[in-house]
Amino acid sequence: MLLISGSGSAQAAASLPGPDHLHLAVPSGEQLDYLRYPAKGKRLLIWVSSERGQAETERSAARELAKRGIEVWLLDLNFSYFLNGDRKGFDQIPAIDLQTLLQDASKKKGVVAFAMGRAAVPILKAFGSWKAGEGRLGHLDFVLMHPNLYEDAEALQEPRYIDFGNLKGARLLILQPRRSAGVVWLDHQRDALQAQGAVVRNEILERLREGFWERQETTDYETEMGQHLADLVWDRLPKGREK
Amino acid sequence: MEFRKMEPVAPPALATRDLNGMAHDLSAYKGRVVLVNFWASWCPPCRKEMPSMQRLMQKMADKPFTILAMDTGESREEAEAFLKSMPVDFPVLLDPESIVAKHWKVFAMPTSFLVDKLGRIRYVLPGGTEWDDGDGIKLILEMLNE
Repeated sequence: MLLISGSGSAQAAASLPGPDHLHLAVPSGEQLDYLRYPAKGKRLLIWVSSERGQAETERSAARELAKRGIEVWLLDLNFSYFLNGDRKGFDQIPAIDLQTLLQDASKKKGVVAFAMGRAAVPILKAFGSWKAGEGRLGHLDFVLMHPNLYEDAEALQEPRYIDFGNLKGARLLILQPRRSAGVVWLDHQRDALQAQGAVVRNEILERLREGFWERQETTDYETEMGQHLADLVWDRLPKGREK
Repeated sequence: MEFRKMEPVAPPALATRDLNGMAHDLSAYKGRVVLVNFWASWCPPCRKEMPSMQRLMQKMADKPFTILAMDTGESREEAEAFLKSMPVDFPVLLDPESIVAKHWKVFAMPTSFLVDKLGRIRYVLPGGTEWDDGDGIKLILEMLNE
């Protein structure tokens, strides 16, 4: 059952322009804090920032996408779970919390999950561990920006990927910046996810490094692409599956 | 990051050409301690540690020690553009398709391996370091004295 703090509706900073600041009480006892950028269209993008935290370029992108009709819920799990960038902490976020969020979101609009870095783990776990009969979504589209899905990645040893459970019904578009050690392992990662039931497509983002939208030192091209993050996401959102 | 001590293990194959077109095969370096360093010009910690590798090379000039710097996943032109501002005296090898990096199971840049005089990998370091000051040079000197 979805519990929302306040008097039966989400608390919102109604007097301020821009996004609504909302808090969602979830089964683990925590509060999921998120920024909601409302829009009239039929699609909703759940955007989960990486373990590095949320950048202003992401908020700008969310605003722009909302102007184009896509509602965005922007989450920083560091903030909600007091993680301070701890990757292991991301892995331990209760799946039921994000299942609750996904379930609520999907009642209203066609949902796409967009997650970055290690933040892909909790959202994939939420989908993969969801049992039929517990409100499991039949399908879900994901766009994952350089997801870090390793269980183990030690030099000289074959990588191991996290077991997410049953990813049947998940359609994944993986965006991988070229300038990364991870680009070599895309096919391994794809195979591991497909073995868990997901449909996976990889796309390499040329001339970019991981986290390009938030780095302290960027190339001119990375700066430009960070400013056009909304376009990058917009162009890759799956069509269809709207409500 | 800390050096990870390995049970001595034979390395994967490493045979490729450097920026000057000269062929290098790691197996030909037995008798020498070798630092195999996987790097890329877009990688800030790789760029940061490169001067210390140059200084290390200079300190070890009279010792049976070699650095093989494997430029990974980029073109010759990209490597050369960076090295114009950071000239080095050790071989810079090219691995534009990351084939060697995949054989060595490299997951981060930089990643370095210390290979002993018998041609066995003894230590792995994921991440950068100051090679001429600290654990790196200490381990290399120990291996040279074996």
